[in-house]
Amino acid sequence: MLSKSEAPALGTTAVRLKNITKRFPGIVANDRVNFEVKAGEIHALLGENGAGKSTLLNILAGLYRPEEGEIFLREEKTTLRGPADAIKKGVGVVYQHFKLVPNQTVAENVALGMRQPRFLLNLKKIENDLTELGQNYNLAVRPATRVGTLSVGEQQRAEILRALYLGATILALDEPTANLTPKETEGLFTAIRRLAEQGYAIIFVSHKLEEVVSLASRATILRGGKAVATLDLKGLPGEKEQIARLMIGREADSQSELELGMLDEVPLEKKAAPIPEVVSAQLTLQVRGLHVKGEVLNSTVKDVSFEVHPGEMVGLVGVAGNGQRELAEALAGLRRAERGDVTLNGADLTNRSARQVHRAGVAFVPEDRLGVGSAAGLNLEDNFLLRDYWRPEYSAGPFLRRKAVREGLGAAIGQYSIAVGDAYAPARLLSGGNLQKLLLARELNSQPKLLIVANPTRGLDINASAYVHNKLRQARDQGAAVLLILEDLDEAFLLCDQLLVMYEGRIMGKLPPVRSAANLENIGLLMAGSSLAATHS
Amino acid sequence: MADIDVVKTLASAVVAGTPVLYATLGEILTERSGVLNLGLEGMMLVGGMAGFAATAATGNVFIGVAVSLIAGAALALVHAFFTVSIGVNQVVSGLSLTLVGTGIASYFGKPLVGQAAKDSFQTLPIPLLSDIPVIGPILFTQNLFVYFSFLLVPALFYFIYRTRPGLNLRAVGESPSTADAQGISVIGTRYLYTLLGGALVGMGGASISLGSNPNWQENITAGRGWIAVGLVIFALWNPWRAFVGAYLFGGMEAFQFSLQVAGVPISSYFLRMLPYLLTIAALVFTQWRLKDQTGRASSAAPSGLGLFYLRRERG
Repeated sequence: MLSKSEAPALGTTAVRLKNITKRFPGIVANDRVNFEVKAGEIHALLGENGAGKSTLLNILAGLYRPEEGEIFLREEKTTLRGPADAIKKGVGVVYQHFKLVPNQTVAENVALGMRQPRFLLNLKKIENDLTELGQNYNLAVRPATRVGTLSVGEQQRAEILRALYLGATILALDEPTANLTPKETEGLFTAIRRLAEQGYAIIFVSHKLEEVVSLASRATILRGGKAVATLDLKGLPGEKEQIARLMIGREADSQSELELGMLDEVPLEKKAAPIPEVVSAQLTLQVRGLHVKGEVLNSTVKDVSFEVHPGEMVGLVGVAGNGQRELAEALAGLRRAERGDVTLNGADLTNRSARQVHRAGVAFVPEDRLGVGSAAGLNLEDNFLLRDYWRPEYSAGPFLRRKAVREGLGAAIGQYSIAVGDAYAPARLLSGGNLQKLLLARELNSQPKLLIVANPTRGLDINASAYVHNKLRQARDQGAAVLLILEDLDEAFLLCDQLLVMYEGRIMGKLPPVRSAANLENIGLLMAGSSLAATHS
Repeated sequence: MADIDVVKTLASAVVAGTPVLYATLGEILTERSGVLNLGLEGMMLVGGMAGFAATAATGNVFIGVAVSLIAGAALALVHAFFTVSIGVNQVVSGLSLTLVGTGIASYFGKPLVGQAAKDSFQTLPIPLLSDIPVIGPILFTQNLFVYFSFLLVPALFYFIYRTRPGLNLRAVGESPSTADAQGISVIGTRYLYTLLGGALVGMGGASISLGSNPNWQENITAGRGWIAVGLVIFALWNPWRAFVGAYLFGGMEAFQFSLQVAGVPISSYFLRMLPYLLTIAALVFTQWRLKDQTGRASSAAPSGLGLFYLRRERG
């Protein structure tokens, strides 16, 4: 027997949450939420960041206990006393950040959730079972391999298999496509559909409307902790727009529509004005033959060469961990390059210090906003000052000109509409969006010639994302060269003038940001490490 | 060069290595669960003193050993409460534990100083095995502490790598949030192995005061607790490597003692330093070997080591 409990009959109700309320200090994360999933159904759970999706998942996983409300599993009222209890009752949750022990094998990770046998492990049996189960559902894994050496896609398959092996009939997937290549996404969808056909209840959490309408048969939309609607998805025109309106709670303007990926092509007038010939002739950033040692083997940057021109926005896309971060850090003066050189407007910047690089006109907004981009415990004023404290504008000898700093910060807060209660609150209390705005304000303050931003909108809500996108476009239109490190292809299509695909530390190719089937396939191939089909011109 | 009896030196290497071995094994268990306990020196001293005192009171060495286990675990319980339940910095709590333990052992051990143990584990040659030339006198003409450690090393290895509780233990140390999501109690696991580890460390102390050196002196452990902290890293959290490391230390200890006895004209202060120097050298060597292909230092330490775990109450 592979799975311990059989999936319930199609059409019966697998999960029903009734008036679920969960409060955290200062916030009602779930406010009388009603949510229902049928066996055999793929049900999308949609909402912006902070709408309460994760909280709801954590309640289903047994990690949080709701203060009010009732949980029914297979039409039976139940309480989930903890994660072990939820697993026993057939709930499997696959989190966006996988819950796997990296230096244990897939089989060992599966054994973790099992309660039998009590003392001795029979890993061989688990390994064989997993291989078989994987074949049945198009979810191939190598069960005896250590998780840390697997690709993101394979780790995800391991998570799903674990849930199935532990007897889950209700499977919740939290943003499952966030780090997958297009091909892996396709494979995942095949597996999900097959599971649903067999009576599994699938909860699919996402914010990508395109995926939701193509995969799910129903969608429940959360906003501000409340379930605002449940829709039947029939593939009718206007469905995406309707969902988008429900998610953000107002008419979607064309900007938000773009952010939501509702429009297939960026309207022409949104594109940058054609780059004046004179400007395009002069290179801003030129990288030649760059080698940078990586955090892990696959992320070592190998022989990378490319250029970014003034007034151009170039997106470096690829699955995370393929050297993008190392490359960005090397360009920003935070990591040593072993070989190769970097020039900005002809000036050599190879292995200069972060300060020298910054003075030469490079601004960098790292992905880890709180850890690398700011000092979490310092207040906004000090964080604003971190880059430029040494400039005569802000300091006189060893002393800071606090008044000038306050004025500078005040101007930035106004200009970037940063919502802060108190400029002396520590940075870690800022929302992701406001912190990102602060960092952009700080970095753009010096009118950079080159702006490098890694995953500029990760974790931001739609409004903040739109704002950040506009600021990036503005910087480009004012003549800065912009290099974006992106994992979200939709965002890359939306923003960039050129895409560079990175795989295992190499630039695999340069492609236009066009959402055509052929181009998507090419990008997918490059992201997975194959070279382009000969048809590519 | 003076004459050194190799077999005798190696036999005393095993004796000298055993207390360190217990302490290292105990700390491996504790650290595998993600709890760093730097209080080994204090726990060894308290275990050794309590075991010695209980033996003095009852005249029964087995009761003494049992008391040393309990004493070590009791001190570890304080550490577990501070670090696992409240989230006090593990380094600070562990260092305090050493200070407190040293103090307790000195205070209650004062009347015992200079006394010989009423009862202790005597050398107990194992029939037949002890007759094997060379190996017999080195490995099988020892006391019960030594024999038990022979069994403990493979048992712990098997437990950690091959059993379900061992798998759970490793998962809690590597990735507490994963273990939690799979329904394993992180707090319960960390308490359990901090206590078990503490008990073994306490017994390590008793293996001096009731075994290799059956009388009570101030500071009888002479820094062996600290050596064990280093050996855990040398051992890469693996009981077999702990075995090697402890005997390396014990070997150097026995060797320098033989040199002293043989009257080598080197200051005895310098000679007594050798085992500690060797431990540091072994540690440096291990870390140097560990540098991975990308040229950056890496570590075999459990990823969750030293970190307080609290289920994140805000999604």
